[in-house]
Amino acid sequence: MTEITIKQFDKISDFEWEIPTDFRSDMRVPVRIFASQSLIEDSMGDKSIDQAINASTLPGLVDAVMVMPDMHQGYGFPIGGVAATDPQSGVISPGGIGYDINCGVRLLTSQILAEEAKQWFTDLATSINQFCPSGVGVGSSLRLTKDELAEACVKGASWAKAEGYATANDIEHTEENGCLKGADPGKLSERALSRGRTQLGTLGAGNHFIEVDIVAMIYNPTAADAMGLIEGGLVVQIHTGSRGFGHQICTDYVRRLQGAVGKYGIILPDKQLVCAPINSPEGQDYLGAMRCGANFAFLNRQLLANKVRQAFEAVLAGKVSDWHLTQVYDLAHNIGKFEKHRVGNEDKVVCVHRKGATRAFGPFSEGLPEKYAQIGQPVLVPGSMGTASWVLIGTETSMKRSFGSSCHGAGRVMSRSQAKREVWGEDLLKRLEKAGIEIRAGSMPGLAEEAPEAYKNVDRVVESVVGAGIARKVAQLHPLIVIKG
Amino acid sequence: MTASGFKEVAHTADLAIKVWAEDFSSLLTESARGMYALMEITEIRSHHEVTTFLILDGSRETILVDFLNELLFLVEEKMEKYEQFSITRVDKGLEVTAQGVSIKSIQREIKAVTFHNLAITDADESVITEITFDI
Repeated sequence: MTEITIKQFDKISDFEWEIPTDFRSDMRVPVRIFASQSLIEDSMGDKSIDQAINASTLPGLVDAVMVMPDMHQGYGFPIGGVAATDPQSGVISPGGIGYDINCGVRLLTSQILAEEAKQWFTDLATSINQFCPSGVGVGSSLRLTKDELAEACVKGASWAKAEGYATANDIEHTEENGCLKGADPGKLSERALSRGRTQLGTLGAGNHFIEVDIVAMIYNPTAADAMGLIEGGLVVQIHTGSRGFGHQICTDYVRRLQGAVGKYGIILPDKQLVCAPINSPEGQDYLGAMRCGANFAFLNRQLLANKVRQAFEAVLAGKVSDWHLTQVYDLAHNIGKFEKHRVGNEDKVVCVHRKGATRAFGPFSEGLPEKYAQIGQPVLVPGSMGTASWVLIGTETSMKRSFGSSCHGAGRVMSRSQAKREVWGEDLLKRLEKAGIEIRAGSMPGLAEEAPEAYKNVDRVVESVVGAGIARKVAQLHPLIVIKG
Repeated sequence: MTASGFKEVAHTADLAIKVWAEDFSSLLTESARGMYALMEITEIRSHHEVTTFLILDGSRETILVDFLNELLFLVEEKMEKYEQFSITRVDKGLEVTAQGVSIKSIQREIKAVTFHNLAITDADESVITEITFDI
């Protein structure tokens, strides 16, 4: 394998680099990296850039494979990867979307000032932890039949509205209104339906979390005002996805599409990049199933948002002037969707794979809710536990350079085993509590694996996307309460 | 190095193990042991379980992934952990009869077994592989 150094990249700007197609003979398009030199060099320790180069060999790619500054090694594609394919000549790849289909983030805002509510933070942490099922093997109080689950997967977040778990405002402020059209439960395995039946409305474990934050700093008052963010106010982030249901869909189709690779004569440098032509029966079947997983995840975060609201009401009703939580936005960072983008001199519908990358549509883009039409889409960038998170907005440049995409988080730099060797869960807990953060965690080893030092500095990641022009800062959030599965 | 075994290897975001054994059948058993070890399972030793399942023919890598994914499903859906395997070849693939125990608790969730860089190699009368798990 060719050894990679940054000297071989073409520097477009301090925050944008390109690996040309002559770097490796099987590349069909360039790889475009949005990151500072130091973040790229930090990423040379794993296979993320090799994986982006591998992804650039897929048939029917449009423009370039993009990599965000929070990149790290994934399966097939790197985490932080974006690739668009032509609907006629291109492929759809489960590896370009990920196992946790529509893993994503939801941000709720309030008019509650942290100062007026701080005496109830301990109760609030306990209440959220009690209302929101989390941790390994913890199921939902909502037990659906397979037919009910199939219906929920077609309707997505609107299923929650019909059942009284969502408001019209929630639906309007969710990417794709919380429902990808074309979901086909007939393309799901019995096993996927079985795994999903008891998992709606659960947080899960690993890097998933619910966090109550304070809006620590506002950088763009106009955008913050449109989002309902007030300095010193409380907001809530919910980070989770499609749980075992989405993983089973990905497992099923990674297996099934291996046959398609041979059938359609596709040559892959990595088996985990399995794919099928979009317009083939196999590709269409995966799209139908994947959309079920995406809709499940939109619905999952909606149900959790409803439970968080119940927790806020239980603790803060009658104690603060207004305990209500209003949705700022909900977005996916593992998804495949057909979107219209400017390619060369024409508007073209392409299949955008985002894996560990966030849609970041600029002002006046199609599909934005009315109140964000002029400012661009909110982009939610959670930090590592105990560090800042960011609210950004998409830009005109993101539409031109990255298929309307930006980063999704901090990105890991340390393995889980190394984090556990170097960080003692109980020590970390004390350290975070000393910093004024209420923590509720399912397990101490699990907490250690998610230690802040296991991640890149999210501020450096944000500086890179802002420097590259593919996002603008709106607000910085600091954690007050963290619930980990 | 012992004739068969496993050890955890570093992975940035997820979990991975290196597994070695005398033959492919033993590699399946050791891989199962390694996966369960990563999950930090506490068993109910008095509750015995038996199951039979079929793994369809394919490459050794595909059989390994399918075998472990089957065990993962049994963990998540039935809270069952299997330790002893009798594997026989049948028309369509491998028929696995497994004996095990019920699970009391799991510390860490593994959601899928991946094909990431998966290759089974033969060396010095042993079979070696490295498996990455998505969590």
